[in-house]
Amino acid sequence: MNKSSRELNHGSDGASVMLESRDHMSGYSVLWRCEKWEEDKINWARAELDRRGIHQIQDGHRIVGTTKRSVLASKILGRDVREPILVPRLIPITHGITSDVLRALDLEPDALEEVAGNLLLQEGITLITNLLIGGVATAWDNANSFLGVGDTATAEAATQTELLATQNAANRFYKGMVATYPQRSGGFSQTIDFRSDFTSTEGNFAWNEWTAARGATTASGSGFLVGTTNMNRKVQSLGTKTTGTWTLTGSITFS
Amino acid sequence: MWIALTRVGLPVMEEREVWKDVKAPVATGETKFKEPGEKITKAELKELGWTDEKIDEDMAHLAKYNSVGDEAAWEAAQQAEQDLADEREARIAAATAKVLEEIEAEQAKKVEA
Repeated sequence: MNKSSRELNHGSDGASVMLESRDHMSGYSVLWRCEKWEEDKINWARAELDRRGIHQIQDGHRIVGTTKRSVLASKILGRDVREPILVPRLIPITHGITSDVLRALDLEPDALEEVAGNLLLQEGITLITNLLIGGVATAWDNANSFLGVGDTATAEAATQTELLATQNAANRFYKGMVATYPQRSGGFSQTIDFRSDFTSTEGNFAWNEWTAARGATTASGSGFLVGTTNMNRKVQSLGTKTTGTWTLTGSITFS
Repeated sequence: MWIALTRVGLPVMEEREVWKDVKAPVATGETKFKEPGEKITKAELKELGWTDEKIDEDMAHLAKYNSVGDEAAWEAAQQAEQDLADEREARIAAATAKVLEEIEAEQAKKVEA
């Protein structure tokens, strides 16, 4: 394994920092990208949308119920196997502005951080291998993929099955995918990108850990507090979010 | 001293200003991975920027979920894996012997006939 890293500052106030650290591993690598928009740009976007007569935008999904079949299956199996039904969630622009809207208004992020690496968790590996051999399992698709962030910097271990932060919206938060994500890119479609927006009132704590989960429960606002099957976990300080929009993108490349 | 029982990622920490004049250890993003069977020492964790408090909390947490243990835990894990492999081999051997027995019995019947 060949490891290299570089760090550079740009912007007059040095607030915009890009940190890059890559592990060159054959087979599997992950690059995480966190884009940050400050609240003054969010306010500008709000005013612009208001001027155009747009007062609601889509942000993630919301649960509208669950099928009778999965309720029955849960009773038979004695454990909760209910699959939530998710529909697009509309939020007022006063609540927050998503990254797609900010980009559409030509507003660049104020800061960008890129971080490489993660630790695959055993429950994630089991689900991946199950899907590879055509086992009966729900995939990391648009409705069932979530990126979660938390405030705990405890070491990663393959046996973990969740973010380690307290189950509370002030400590950890899972958010559904931005429309059209996860999506594939690169030669042979070898890279999978997962992307979630955390808007003004969401995920306002120190970002010390994050994960890509298949499924999430315990709704909180337009997000969730519990990840069902976590693929991986990464510990890294990305700063403390207090407001604004932060967009987390996880890119997994197979080579 | 601990031994990794599963793959473990140990974050590299450094002291940074997290708020006005307030310094605290934060994870830099670099991770030192330990494969199952590799040793983890307290001195090594301190080199990674871990405080005594973090070492106590994290290692207790990792031990609770059988991610790290001492040599006895490693030997027990190895033995359990070996027992599982032995049992599997024994089952395959028994099944193979049974099939061979059936084939031989069939052939003996044909010879008699």
